[in-house]
Amino acid sequence: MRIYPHFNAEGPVNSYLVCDDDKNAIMIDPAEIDHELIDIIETEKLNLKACLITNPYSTHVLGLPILDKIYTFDIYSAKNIVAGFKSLKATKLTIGGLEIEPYYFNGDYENCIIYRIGNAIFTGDVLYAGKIGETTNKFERNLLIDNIKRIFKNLDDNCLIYPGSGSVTKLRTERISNYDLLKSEVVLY
Amino acid sequence: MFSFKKCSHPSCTTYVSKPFDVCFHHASEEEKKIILSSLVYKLTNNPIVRDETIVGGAFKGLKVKSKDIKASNFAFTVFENCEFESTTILNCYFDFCIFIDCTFNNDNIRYSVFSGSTMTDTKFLDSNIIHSNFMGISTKRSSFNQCDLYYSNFSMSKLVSTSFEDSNLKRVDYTASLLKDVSFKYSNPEEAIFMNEEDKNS
Repeated sequence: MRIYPHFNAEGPVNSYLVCDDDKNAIMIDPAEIDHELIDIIETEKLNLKACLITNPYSTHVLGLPILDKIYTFDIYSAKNIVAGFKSLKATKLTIGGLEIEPYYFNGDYENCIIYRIGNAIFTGDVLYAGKIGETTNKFERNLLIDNIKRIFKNLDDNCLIYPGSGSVTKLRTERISNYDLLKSEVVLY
Repeated sequence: MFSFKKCSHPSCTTYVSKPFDVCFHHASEEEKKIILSSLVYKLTNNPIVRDETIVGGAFKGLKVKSKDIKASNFAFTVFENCEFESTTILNCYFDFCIFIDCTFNNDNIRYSVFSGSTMTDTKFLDSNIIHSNFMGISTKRSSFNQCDLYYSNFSMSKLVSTSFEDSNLKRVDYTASLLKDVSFKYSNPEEAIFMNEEDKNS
């Protein structure tokens, strides 16, 4: 498996191209399709099979129309329609040699999905390096933290985390240094 | 990407070091020598170093010049007196490493992780260090001068006698960091983040 991170000034958000040894590729959050991304697909001769959307209502999907003009692929998200395109509900699936496991949320992030492919986790807007996504109130915040902890509970410390924006990280780092997750464990008497 | 294959030693979840089926820590002394010497050779001779893993290794006096290091994992490794010059470091993991007296000069570092590392007398100079993760690092007598640190994350860090001079600090995150004797001369700390949004409002 190979992962190509790509920064988009639009948003600003991160997109990721993930491919297996047979060049079957998946794009996570096609925010902005520029020559750099197309170059990777073409020079590496990748066969783009699917786009996985972490958040259908964000800048993460702005590149879909351009990508759709060039390639034929399936779209997976939490909704049936994404940016005007038909989307399939993300379930546990295998594309080429890539086994994809989606994790759903409730509350503010009910339309968002975290995807795990092997030991890489694509967290979209739910979790960034050192902090969690924005929420509308304290209840939602605690709910989101509970959801994140539930997902991370059984995952290995060496998992790589690729957020929707900002720097990449590792699960061990988030467990030790994520300000929001740590703060939620502090009890004031 | 480096192999996600786990060490064959019971209950060890560390990634294996090529070409063996154990991690560096569980490799025999002979295997350790092979892993280290092969990596040193690649880092000093090959123009592109890709998909390598060494967890818990140690390098001394390593000189890496004009190389591309991609998708590699050097977690928990000690770098002493090492130089990385005019090198591209992309999607690499140097988490929980120890850097002593190292220099990163004129490098292009992107999507890389240095979190939890300890840096003593380590200098990053004239480098692009964007979208990189320095969460929870501990620095002493170190510098990030004349660097573009756009969108890098230094939250929960302990930065002592460290300078960020003449550097771009736009969207750089210093949330919950301890800053002692830190210089931001000729930089733009006003565009950096020093406090979590929730804490700001409370």
